[in-house]
Amino acid sequence: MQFFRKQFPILLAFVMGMMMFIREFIPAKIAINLYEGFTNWAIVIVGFSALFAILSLLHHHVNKIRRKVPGHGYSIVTIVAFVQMLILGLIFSVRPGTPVGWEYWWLFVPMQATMFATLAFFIASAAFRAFRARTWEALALLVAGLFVMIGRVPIGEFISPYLSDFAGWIMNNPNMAGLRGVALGVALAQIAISVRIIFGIERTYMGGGD
Amino acid sequence: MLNLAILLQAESQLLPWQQSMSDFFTGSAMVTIGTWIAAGLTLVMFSFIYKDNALFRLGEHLYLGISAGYLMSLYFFNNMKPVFIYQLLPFLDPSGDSVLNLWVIIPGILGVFILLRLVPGLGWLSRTTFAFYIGGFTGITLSKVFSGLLLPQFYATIDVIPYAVTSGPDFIKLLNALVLFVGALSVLVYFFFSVEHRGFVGGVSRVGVYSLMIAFGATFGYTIMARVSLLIGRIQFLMFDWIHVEIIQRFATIFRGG
Amino acid sequence: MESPPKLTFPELFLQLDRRIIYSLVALAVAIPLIWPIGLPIRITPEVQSVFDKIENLPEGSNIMMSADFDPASQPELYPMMKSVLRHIARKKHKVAITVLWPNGPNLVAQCIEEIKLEFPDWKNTEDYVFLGYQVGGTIVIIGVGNSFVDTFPKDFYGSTTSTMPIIKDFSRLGQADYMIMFEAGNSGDWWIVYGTEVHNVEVGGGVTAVVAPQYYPYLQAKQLNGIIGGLKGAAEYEMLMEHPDMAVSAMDSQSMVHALLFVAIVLANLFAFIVAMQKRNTARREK
Repeated sequence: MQFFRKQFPILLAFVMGMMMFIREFIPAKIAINLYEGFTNWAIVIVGFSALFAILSLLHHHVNKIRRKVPGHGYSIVTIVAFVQMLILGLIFSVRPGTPVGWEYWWLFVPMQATMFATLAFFIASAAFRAFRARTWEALALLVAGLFVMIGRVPIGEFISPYLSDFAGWIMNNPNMAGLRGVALGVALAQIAISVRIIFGIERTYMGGGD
Repeated sequence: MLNLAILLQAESQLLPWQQSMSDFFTGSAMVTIGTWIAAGLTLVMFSFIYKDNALFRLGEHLYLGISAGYLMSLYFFNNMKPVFIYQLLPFLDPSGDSVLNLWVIIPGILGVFILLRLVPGLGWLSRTTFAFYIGGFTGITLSKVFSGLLLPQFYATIDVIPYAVTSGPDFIKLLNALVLFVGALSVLVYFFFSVEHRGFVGGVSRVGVYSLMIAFGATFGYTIMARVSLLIGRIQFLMFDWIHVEIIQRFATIFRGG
Repeated sequence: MESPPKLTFPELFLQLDRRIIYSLVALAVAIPLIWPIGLPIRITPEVQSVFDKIENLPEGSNIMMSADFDPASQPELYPMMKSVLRHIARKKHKVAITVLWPNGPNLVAQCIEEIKLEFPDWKNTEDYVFLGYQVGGTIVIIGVGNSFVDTFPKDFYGSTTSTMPIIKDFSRLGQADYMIMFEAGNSGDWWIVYGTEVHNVEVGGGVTAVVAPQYYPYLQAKQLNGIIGGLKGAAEYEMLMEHPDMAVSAMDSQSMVHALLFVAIVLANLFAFIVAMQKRNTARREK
């Protein structure tokens, strides 16, 4: 039983990883079938993980209600909202023109959009109060940020087309160069982590379990 | 059984009562009610700017519940039904187009193992599923990231100067090419921590830092643009869809004699 | 008791209450919406590239579209998606639409309904297919590269995809003549790495301003043919379509807030420098 708890998953990850990597270099029908088969199975599996995520959320809020934690009234609101949305969705589907479609457009969209819209106030306040060029690096960041901020909107283009052109130059050259370095680093890191996972060095993705 | 039939019917063919329901929910009465509710919720969420309050917390939890319920319904119709249920029990598909595929039992069992994480003592079974999925996916990732990201980006970095030199005399193009080449490679040197950043390596690393600072500055400028756009969207809704400012504008124009 | 030292104007400015800043931002947004200024909008080459590609494709070409965003990014991406869909419908191209973000499908469904009002002949399953949302992210991209039907046996509305007329000639990503993706996060990177690079499909990106800078490396490497960045990019596309809509009307407000923040940050840094110099001089005199 210990083998299935500990060693078997690592062995399975290795076999699956090597299989899906090597099949890339095999120009045969079996390789294509393997690829398509794995993809179709993976969609089913990921569907269950989405279900798990929602059940975990409910589990958390139900526990809060059961233990009558301070603020558990809010959890009741969450559960009620969830249940009514689920029942209506299962009966009438989710397309526009249904109760769920109506709730989505007039309740969900305003709330989520507004949550992120409030960030405009906070970023404005933070930029004004904390954005100080105390070092040469911060000055470089500040100058680039200010030129892009004013050059990429109509008022910058109106003040001077050169402002807009300079902002475009910043985006297409130094900005691109810096973020390409980051992208290359991320790609190398992804490859390194993939190798570590296949060879069983990296095991954190399996989670705790017991 | 009737409820099951409603659950599993093809939503694309609207029955008369469904068409009536659709007309009702898209009609002017429900749009007006929806607008007022949306405006109220928008102002409730905006109240957080002043300070955290009970109304905002209520809105937050309401949002969470609605989101989870929507996701669950969507997941059922777009994933569970067509990709799993209909393949296992094709006679449940009202359109009759589904074909029996018993192989889907295997990913189904692996999927159930994930749900068993909620059961004390059985959580370890989920490791098999994660190993299967993550192991297979990383095998795909290895080759795809190499050919789809690393090589094209690396090639584009190195090719920049020869291309600028061979495509005709242009000082600006050459300068841009140098900025691209030096900037990208210096950032990579900066992130290479196995060698101490001193001397020549330290100098190149400093260039990388400045390259990153300019990139983050540009990102900051664009982030401001993004957040302000979201705010404009909400204020447009409040002013034009709720208060109907354009009517006030028209009255103002009439009174001005314009 | 000594009265507190009188603050100079730079010090007062630096301690400006955040509520005043919030009010100024709100006014800078609201006033231009009531009294528009009408600043001209200049088209950038990145947006022109996407427009030209869709404009120059032969009528009836296959276009893959992925709308990977949710209501949090709706003010930026919804106007550009609507403009692009309008363009596609006008040019009578075929389009297959997917969604990788779970909170997004109804936004796309709503947009489709709005475009259908402008183009009543634009038919579901013949001119367009809204495949809907599928769980999996990158796995869905790989699946779409193999087959639409296997990944989406039913579309968003519940119709069987295998029997649709549009699927006869457009059943997987590799059969697309062009792809346009609307991204609020990193799923664009996945589309390029696992989708368009594998199947050799040219792709353009409509992205939120937050993630727009990180797509420029793909633009330079010709892995992307163009970028419609943020609400400004959406406004440019509306101008190219000669159909000014939500994005164009927001540009004056965008300009005013940017100008306000530009002036505020410059003045804050200038005054911080002045205050720091004054403190240094005072300390030197006291020594």
